[in-house]
Amino acid sequence: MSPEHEPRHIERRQSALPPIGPSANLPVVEASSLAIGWKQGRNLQILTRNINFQVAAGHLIALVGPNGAGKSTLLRTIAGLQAPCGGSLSLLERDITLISAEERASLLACVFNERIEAGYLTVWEFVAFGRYPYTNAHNRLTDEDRRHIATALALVGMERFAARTFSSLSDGEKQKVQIARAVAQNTPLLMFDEPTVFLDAPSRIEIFKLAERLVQEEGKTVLLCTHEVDLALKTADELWVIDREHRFSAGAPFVVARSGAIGRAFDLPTVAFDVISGTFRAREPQR
Amino acid sequence: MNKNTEPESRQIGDRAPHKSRARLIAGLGACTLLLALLDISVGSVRIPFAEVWKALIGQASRQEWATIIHVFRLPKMLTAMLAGASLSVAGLVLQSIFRNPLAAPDSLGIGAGASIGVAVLMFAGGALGALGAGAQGIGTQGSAILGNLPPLGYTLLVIAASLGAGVVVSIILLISRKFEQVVTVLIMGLLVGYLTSSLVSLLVYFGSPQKVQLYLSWTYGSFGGVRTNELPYLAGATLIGFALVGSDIKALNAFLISERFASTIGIRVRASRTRLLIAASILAGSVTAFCGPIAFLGIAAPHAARLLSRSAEHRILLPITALSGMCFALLADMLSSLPGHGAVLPINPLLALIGSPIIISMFFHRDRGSLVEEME
Repeated sequence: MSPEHEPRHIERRQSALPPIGPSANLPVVEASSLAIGWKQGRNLQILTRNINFQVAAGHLIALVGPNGAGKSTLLRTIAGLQAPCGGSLSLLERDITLISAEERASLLACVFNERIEAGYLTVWEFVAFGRYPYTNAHNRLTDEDRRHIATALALVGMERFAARTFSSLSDGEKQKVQIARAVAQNTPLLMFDEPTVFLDAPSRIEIFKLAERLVQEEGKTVLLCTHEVDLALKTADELWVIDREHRFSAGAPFVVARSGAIGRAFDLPTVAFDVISGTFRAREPQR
Repeated sequence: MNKNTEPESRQIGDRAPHKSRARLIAGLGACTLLLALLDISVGSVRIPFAEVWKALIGQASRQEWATIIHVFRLPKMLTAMLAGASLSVAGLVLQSIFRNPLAAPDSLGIGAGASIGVAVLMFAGGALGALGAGAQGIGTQGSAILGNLPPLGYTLLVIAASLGAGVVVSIILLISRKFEQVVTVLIMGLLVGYLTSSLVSLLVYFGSPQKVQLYLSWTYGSFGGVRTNELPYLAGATLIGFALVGSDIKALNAFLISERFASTIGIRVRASRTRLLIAASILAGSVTAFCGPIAFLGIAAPHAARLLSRSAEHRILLPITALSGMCFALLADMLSSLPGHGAVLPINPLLALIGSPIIISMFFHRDRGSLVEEME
C-alpha cells in the first residue's frame, strides 16, 4: 500500500462544498419526523422516531452507532426495502413510498454487506447488474451501458479483473467491484452498508478514499454506515449517530463528537471516546 | 507467458466468450438432433435407417413401418424432448430462485403433488376404479403404464396429476407471499412434499396389489404414453412455461445474488418470483402428469449446463439447460427401448444410471480446467 493510504494522511476537507450541477439545491434525501422500525402483523415496533435530516448533493455522510441501534433499519428504509413507520422520507423531493422499484433503482444504488455466491459470474457481468434499471427485458447491453461499466471498473481500479470470476476475488476486491456496480447504476445517491467490515486495515482506508473520490470527483452523494468511527470523523462531511437509546443526531463530524453523542452511543464502562484524538481509549482505572 | 496481455484483450468483457458459447449451443443443438434421429430409429422392431427417413417424409415402403414411426416413435421422441427441456428448465428456475443447488421440482413437492393426485385416483376412487376395471386394454406401444388404463382413465390421470401439482404449487405460492425469506419457502416446500408423500404411502399401504402395481409402474416414468393428439397440450404447456421464464431472465440473474440485491436494481421481487414459480410448476406439473414423476433431470441438467457453459447468465444457461435436458431424456429413452432385450425399461432408473456418471465426470473436468486457468 502506498503511504497516502495511511490514516494520518487523510485530511479533513472543508464541509461546505461548492454546488455541483443545476440540481445542487435539491435535497437528495430528506426526512422529517421519520419513524423507522418493523411491522409485525398489526403491531408496529418503532425502533427510532423523530429522525430529521436533509442531505444536499455532493456530500459524504457517515452513519455510526452500536449494533442493534437501527443503522441497518434506517438504510433499509431509505433503500425502500421496508416502509417508514411514520413521518416522511423523500428522495429528490419525492415521497419514497410513491416511487416504483424501477425508478428507485435509477435514483439510489445500494451496496449491502452480504456474502455473495456467484458461481461462474464474471466481474464484468457483476458490474453489468448496475445497468439493469436501463436495459431491456432481454438484458441487451448498449454501447452506452458498456461505457458505464468500463468507466465504473476503471474508477475503482478493477478494469484488469473484468474477465475474472467474481468468486475468485479477495474480500477487498469484491467490495470494490460491488461499488463499481453501484457506480455503473449511475444514481445521484449511493448507500454502502458497512463496506469495510471484512477488510484489512489498508483496504478499509482504500474504501473510504474511494467514497471520498466519488463525492469530490463524481459529484455523488454517499451515505455509508460504518463501525470505523475514527475514519468516519476524518472523512465524512456529516456524521449521523444513532445511540443505544435509538436517538438520532446529525451534524458536522467534530461538532457531533464534541456534543458527546459518540460517547453516548458507544462508551463502555472500560472504554471511552476521546474527542481530542478522535479515537476510543481505555479509561484510566478510577481509584 | 501471455499473462500480461490476456486480461487486456478480454477487457471488453462480455463479448469474447460469446462466440464459444454460440458454438456450444450450436453443438448441443446438433447433438440433440442426432440423438432424436437415433431415438426414432431404434426400437423393438428393426427398421432400416433409410426407411425411417422415408416414413418421416411420408414415403414408407411398408405401412406398418409408417405406423410404428408416426404413431409410436415420433410422439415418444417429441415427448422425451419436451419433457427433457421442461423439467430441466423448471429445475434451473427453482435452483436460481432458491439459490440452492439442490432445489428441483421434486424437492418443492411439485412431483409429490402430482403423485398424490394420481394415488387418490387409483386407490381412493372406488367409482373411478370401476371405470378402469372394465377395460384392461393393453397398449401395443409397450408403454408400461398407461397401456393398462382405458382412454378415459388416462385423461383422468392427467387431470388428477395436474390438479395435485396445482394444489401443492398454490400452497407454496401462498407461503411465499406470506414469508419474505426464500429459505423458509424452500423448507415449507420440503415439508409439503413429505406430507404428500406420506399420504401417498398410506394410500399405497392400504391399496390392493394390482393397484399398487399400477401405481408403482406410473412412478417409474415413461415418455411412451403421450398420444399424438395429446402432444399439443404438452407442447403448449412447455411453450407457456418457456415464455414466462424467458421474460424474467433479468430477475433470475439477480436472484442468484440475493432478493434484496434484485430489489435495489429495480426488480419487482415478489411479482417476478410468483411468475417464475408459476412457470416452473406449469413446466414440471404438465410433464409429471403426462410422463409420471421423473426425478433426475430437474436437478442434474442445470448443473450440466453450468459446467458446460461456465456461465451464470441465464440468457445463456436457459437454452443450454433445455438442450442438455433433451439430450439426457433422448439417451434414456433410447436405452429403454433398445432392440435385443425385448422389454421396455423404466425411464427413471435409466436417466440416473447414464446421467450421474456423465455429470460426475464433468465436475472432475471442471476442477482440472480451473486449476489450469489459475496456473496460466
